[in-house]
Amino acid sequence: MCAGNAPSRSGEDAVRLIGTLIIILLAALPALFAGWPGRAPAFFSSLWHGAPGSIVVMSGLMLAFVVLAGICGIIARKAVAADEEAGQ
Amino acid sequence: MISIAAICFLVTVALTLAITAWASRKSSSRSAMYAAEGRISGGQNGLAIAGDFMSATTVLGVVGLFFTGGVDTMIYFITPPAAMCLILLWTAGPLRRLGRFTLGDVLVARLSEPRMRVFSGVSTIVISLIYLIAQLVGAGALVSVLFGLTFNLSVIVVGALMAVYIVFGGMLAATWVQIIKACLLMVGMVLISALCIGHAGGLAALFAKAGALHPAGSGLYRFGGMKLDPFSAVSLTVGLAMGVLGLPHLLIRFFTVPDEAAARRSMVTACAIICFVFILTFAIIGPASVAFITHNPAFVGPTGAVKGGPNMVVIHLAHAVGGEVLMGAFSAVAFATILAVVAGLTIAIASATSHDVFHPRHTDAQRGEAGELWLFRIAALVGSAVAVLLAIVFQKENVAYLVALAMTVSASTNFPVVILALYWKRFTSAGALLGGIVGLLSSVGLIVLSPGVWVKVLHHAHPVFPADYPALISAPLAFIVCWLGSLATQPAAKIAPAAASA
Repeated sequence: MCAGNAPSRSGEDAVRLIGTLIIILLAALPALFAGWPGRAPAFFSSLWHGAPGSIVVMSGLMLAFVVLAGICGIIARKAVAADEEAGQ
Repeated sequence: MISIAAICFLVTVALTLAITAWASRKSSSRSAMYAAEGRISGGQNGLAIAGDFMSATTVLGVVGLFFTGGVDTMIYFITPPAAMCLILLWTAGPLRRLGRFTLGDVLVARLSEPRMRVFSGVSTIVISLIYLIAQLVGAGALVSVLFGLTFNLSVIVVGALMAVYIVFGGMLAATWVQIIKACLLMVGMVLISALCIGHAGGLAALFAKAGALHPAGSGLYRFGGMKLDPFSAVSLTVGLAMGVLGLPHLLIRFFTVPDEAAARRSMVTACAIICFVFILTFAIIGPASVAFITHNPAFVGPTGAVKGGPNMVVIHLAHAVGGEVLMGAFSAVAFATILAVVAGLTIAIASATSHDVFHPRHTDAQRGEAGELWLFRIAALVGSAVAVLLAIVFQKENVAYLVALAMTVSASTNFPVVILALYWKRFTSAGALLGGIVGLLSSVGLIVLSPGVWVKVLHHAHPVFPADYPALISAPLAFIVCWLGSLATQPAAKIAPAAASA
């Protein structure tokens, strides 16, 4: 069950690590914008011409997490299958 | 106004008590009380997790934060779904596979050290109790404003109800209270959102009106409204995300489903429901609260402060767009929200006490299952009473700091220990104990020394620790101590051959 101690798991673990990095990067966006606010407003106002682009983009980000949750479920299922194949 | 709210309140209480009476007939065994016999389906558990997570602080508090801080509140909305994806990837399956009733089961299974049960029990009680106090303080304020009761009486009523649910109905009652709450909350949020858009004359008009009325103007939609420095913004995100990953009352919900597949399904369902409610809250209800509450003398005092405090913004919004009927109905939803969350927290405290803290001393056959069940019920009663007393003592405290404290402690105590126990084969019980204790002490200590407590509560001139959210320091510190402690306490015989079986 431990990471990396079975050959059949390395591929699954790599996918999970990449997924983790993507999740962390997406989750960090609001913190980066809130912590360094000078960067974000220009980006959003130019994107949406003064409309609340931040609302639209951030809502889209939350929707992305629903899709990510589904993908994570599939990845986790494959990791369990790899566990079972490895007899753990 | 009070009569409609009171009727909705009584209907909610009657419904939840009826569920408890039904659940009590099915909850005679230890497995039923702790984990609903593992018979909850993935979809039901997803609803229950959503109901368990979306606390009064989450639903009511973040709308109040948006009202003043604008889109910076996105940090509060995005971290839970992110944490849930990480739970799905890394911990949901192993937790379900290794645990029966509590996190202590998982740690003992991985580290083969019975003392870990006591550590897990104590950390679960500390985290859940702090979280419970925060919920009760918020509940007391809300119920007292809504129904004209005193704060103390409000907290006692909520505390008594949560004790009844758990003592008689156990996990099954808590689960169904949470499921019903999640459904009510979704319906309530959709209804309020639709009415807000209708009253404003469309979504674009709603955004424009909010931007015109907010003191910051269109700055409402620009980041920087909460005036977080970079460290605080990142540390808040880390604390909230890792905190969710270690929250005991959420993680023990995986023991209520029959298998790992159901555990994964429940997390996907919960993530979808929470994102749905959060999108409505962030994209419609937040701006609508600015559009309909700002400068409205019915809801804002002469100084510009919201009547009843910022947590009441969404209740005022329901009143503004739906009249007294919707306000009464949504107040009942808010009350159901509180009941569902405190029920889950009480289960976590009671099961950690009876199954983990006292478990090692009572493994003899004489005590048996019946004795543990009695201990569970007594722990639920005592835990409820202690939480009520502490909520009364800390009623003036800032609820946001109590929640931040619980999340930071969870991120610095449970999360490092659980994740290392699951995925690092050289992790030892001594390393876990050292790291967990350092995480607990550093997180609590730094919060006490932060501006939010040291200056605002204890009235010192300058904070000892400059930031309000210390998880960025305390959580890595806990990981490092776990790592160093484990390396320093490697059993010689375990290093080579036994590692292969880990």
